[in-house]
Amino acid sequence: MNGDYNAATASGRSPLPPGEPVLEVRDLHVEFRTRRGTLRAVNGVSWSLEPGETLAILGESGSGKSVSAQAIMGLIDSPPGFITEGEIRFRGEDLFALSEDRRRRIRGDGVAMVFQDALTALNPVFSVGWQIAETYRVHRGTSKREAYAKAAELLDRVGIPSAHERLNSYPHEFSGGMRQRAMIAMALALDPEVLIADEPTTALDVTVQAQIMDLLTELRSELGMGLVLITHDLAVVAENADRVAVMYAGRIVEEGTVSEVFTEPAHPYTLGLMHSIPPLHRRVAALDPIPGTPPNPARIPPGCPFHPRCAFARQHCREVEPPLERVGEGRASACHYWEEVKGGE
Amino acid sequence: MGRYILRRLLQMIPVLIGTTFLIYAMNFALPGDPVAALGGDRPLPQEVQDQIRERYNLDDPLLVQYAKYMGNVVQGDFGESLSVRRGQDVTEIVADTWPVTVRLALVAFVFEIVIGLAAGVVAALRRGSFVDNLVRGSTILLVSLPIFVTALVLQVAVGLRFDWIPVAGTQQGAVSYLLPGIALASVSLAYLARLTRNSLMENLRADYVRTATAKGLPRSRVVGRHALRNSMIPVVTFLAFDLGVLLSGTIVTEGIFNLNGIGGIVFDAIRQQDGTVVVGIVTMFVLVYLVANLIVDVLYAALDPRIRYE
Repeated sequence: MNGDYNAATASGRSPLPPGEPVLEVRDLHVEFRTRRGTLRAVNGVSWSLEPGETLAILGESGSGKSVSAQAIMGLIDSPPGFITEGEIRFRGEDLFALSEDRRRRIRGDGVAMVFQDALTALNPVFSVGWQIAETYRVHRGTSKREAYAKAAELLDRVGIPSAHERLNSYPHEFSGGMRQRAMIAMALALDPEVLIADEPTTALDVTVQAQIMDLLTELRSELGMGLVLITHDLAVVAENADRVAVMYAGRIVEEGTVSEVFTEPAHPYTLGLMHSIPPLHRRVAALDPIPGTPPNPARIPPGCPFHPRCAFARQHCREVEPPLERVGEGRASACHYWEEVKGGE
Repeated sequence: MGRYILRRLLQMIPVLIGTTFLIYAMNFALPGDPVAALGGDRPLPQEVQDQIRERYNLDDPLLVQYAKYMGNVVQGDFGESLSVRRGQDVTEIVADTWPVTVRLALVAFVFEIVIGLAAGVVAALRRGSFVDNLVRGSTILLVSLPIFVTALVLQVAVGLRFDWIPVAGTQQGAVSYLLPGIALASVSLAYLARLTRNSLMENLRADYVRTATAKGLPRSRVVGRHALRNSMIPVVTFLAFDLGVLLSGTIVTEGIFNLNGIGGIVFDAIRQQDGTVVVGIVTMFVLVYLVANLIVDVLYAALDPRIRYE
């Protein structure tokens, strides 16, 4: 009734061929054309997500990690934002080649998203139950009653006590953690294959952060969905992700399994990130943060974008931008001297 | 909620006393002698003048006059007209003329809401486009023109060109309200269009609109349900406030288009120094305005659940 995509999903999706990624980003370029010049927010990012896998995209603010997620969801306002190159494939289908209507049907259904600040991300004038039910109602065309029943079920599933009574509560009547749970319930309404969580715990208290991450991890394994975890928090990555892609200046600078990347970084930026968090069991006189600040996306330095802040940098780095190269089984680094970085620790 | 309404109703009493006193005092302070004015070129005999002064308490000091007047008002007696419709009760005059004014105000209100909202929404959705620039330019023009200028332009440019559009009076039924309605609505309509445009544009950038898009809702629903509902909060406030502006606007508009409504009567009464009529009718205007604002404040809670009344 809602087109072939939904007809297929409502009755259970066809299984993906083994080894096929559920979501794939290839050579994505996004820029924002503003009056003060063109900001190159994403410069040739590629990654893929296997079903049921957690991929963390790690980076500082301005590294382009959120923008690449917004490109997947079609949330980039154009103008000023333009996707100038690349493709995004969901179940092998190029999203940019689809009609707007077909793309819309995949949003929320095949790929759903959880945002950082649930207070502003939920509509203040509609009840939480209404907002969850809306997703279900619009995509599946069910009755209001059925959609509300589903909403109650979802709220219960994400651990909101007496979910049925809370359906008519408004976002401002929820605590921060509960709002984020409601946000997750809304994203799960259509049983998506991929969930993109953009800094899902940044706006929350530390204790609540752990609860929300546990919930996400639990739901991911239970529902078998792929999770793209966008964060700047190394601890969140270490505890929850299978693989990690480290972003800097709109590029992926290092990629690999979390355990390998964290024990043996192959890029000076990753190494710097590791050194800038305080060790848990050891007193240190001073932390060793990365000197300088990330580059302005309107003026990314020539050569390796990280060279002005890099202890390993030499003349070659100022002239030639290092490509993201395979440096081991499932590992890649965009550093000319990765062997030095990896071996030198 | 009930207690809130009661409290608001009680708050109206001092507001009403204050406004009526102001109007009464201003009327009292007007230069000239209303009784002498009655006679025109031939002065009335002294006995007649004294009789009239006696009857309308015109010799009392301001406060005494006002107290006597309010005493009567509380009993539903707004006094009688001195000159405009000599001898007729103000309540009777209002009963005669209110339908014309209410129709005029309603027509203007409908024009304001339909055109103002539509222009604002279209401009916001097509930001920077030709339509947006047209809306922004024309609203500035309308806001800067006084109603009487807009009215005269409409009469000349539209009314005289099309036979079926009357330029004065109400003899031709509903179509008679077309030009006065547009003229009366013009300034408010322009404000409303700009307010709607800015409010919607701001809400279209809000996080929850992004969420609604990410949920896979059609654009029409994202805008129509999520963004628009939030944009209406300042718009409704403005509309309530604007009802008062429209009411006072009827005075000029009815005067220009020669409509036999309350506004026209006030127009004449001010010129002929018919104090009882001016004070009585303006007091009723104030009352209507206060009640309309109360209704809107109550409606707010329906529009924005973050607002609760104790």
